[in-house]
Amino acid sequence: MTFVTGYNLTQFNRRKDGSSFRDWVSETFESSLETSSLDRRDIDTLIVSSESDFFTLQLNPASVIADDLGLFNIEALRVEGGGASGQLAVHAGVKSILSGASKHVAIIGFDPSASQLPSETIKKLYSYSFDAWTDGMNGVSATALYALSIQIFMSETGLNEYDLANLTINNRENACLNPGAHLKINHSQDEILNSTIISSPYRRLHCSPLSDGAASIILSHKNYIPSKRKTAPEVIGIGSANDRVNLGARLEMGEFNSKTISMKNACKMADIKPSEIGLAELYDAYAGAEFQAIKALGLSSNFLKDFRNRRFHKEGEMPINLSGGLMGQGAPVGATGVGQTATCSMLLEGEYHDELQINNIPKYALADTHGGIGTTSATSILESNIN
Amino acid sequence: MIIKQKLDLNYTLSFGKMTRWVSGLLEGKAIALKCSQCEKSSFPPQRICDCSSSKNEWFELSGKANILVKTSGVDGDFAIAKFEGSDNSAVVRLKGFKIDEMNGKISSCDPSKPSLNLIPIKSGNE
Ligand SMILES: [Zn+2]
Repeated sequence: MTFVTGYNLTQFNRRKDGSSFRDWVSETFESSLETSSLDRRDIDTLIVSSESDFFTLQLNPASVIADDLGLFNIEALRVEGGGASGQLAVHAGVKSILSGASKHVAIIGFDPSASQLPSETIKKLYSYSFDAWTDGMNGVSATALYALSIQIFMSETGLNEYDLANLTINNRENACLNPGAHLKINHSQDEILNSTIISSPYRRLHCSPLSDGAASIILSHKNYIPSKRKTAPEVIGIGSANDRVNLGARLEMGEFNSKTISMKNACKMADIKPSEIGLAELYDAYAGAEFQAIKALGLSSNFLKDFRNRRFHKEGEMPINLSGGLMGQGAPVGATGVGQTATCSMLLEGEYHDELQINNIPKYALADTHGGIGTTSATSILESNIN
Repeated sequence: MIIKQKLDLNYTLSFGKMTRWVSGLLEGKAIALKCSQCEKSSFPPQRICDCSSSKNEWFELSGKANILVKTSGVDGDFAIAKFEGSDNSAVVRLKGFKIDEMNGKISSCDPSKPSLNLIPIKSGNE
């Protein structure tokens, strides 16, 4: 019912060119619009995703963006759910199409997470994205919370520091082949294992960067797909779920249980099993978070064995984070979930970057995002339409 | 072109029902909520219990806690700790812990920054 007729990601990096987030939004929207072969006057709903007004210094960003994009007399709103903002915006768009309220929805995620504020300020603001009255006031960094959770996960699963290093190497290797990626770096295992400890066991090179950038998709109802877009992939399942906001309040503090429920809901809607997913873009805010996601999403019955056997590698049976993920491609928060869905759409249509496009295009792809520490999970399943 | 802009925000925060929890932190007391239906206690306090009940009462824990897992590095020293008498765990800031020290107690904090601090329990410190 809901097809991705347009998609684009801008460069993710730290901008030093004097451009603003409003430029990046315009750039990504115009490119998506061109891909969709629609006219801007065909768009009847605009959904924007940005994590925080503190980043942009713009309240009600949907209003100014609609104006910048020449979209008038339409519904224009913003969706926010921390790190999950972008994927939740995609879900809001899908629901709008499914309800019959919209024919074509433009979804645009963005955030100037790198260039507009000092990184220490961004880190402080992020700590308020957990419970501000407990973790926020305590000054616990996101890295420290993820570090506590991954230690429990490591002790329960046997995941070790070499796995964390190898995943970091994989994602940044993929990023080297993605012209739009922020961190195109080939690390050695030694470099990673000797980088500064931010919050043990997490070291500096295990962390995703703060990035600037924007991403967009255009969703179209099946009755209104432009004739040139017959191979547009379909969003066949969406699911979302939350968990207790305080890590200590969870029964399994090493597991991202909200993802398991989110995935179950998405699979039920799509009428497929997790084992049928052929590629995935996952939320690797930290190296270990990708392992926690793979396990929670049920993408493998033995994630550690599959990882060590390179099943999730770019040449593997089920590639994960071909884009480089947050760790390699970068993380302009509001743009990440939209960017994941855009990336999956390109891959399913055979339109991704030459050196990363897989030849045997799978039937299904998964985009999974979360806010907090696996607190708000949002999962989307897409189906290829090229055959 | 670049223009520097500074935003000064002076919030006046109130905590409503959670005032007991926050004032406890300032005094170095662990104030928890106990569910009136299933008797499960939570620290940090939960407005709604896992059993779905919204009926609860405040009570004071001993303030002693066992550390389940620690992290340290340039972002500071933190842990997940289980307070004596609480059914859940809490993320705490660690103050002055050695690597092998795993028992602590709550300590008071800067009144302008209500935080959950844990100091080690040593002989004479208990
Ligand atoms: Zn109860």
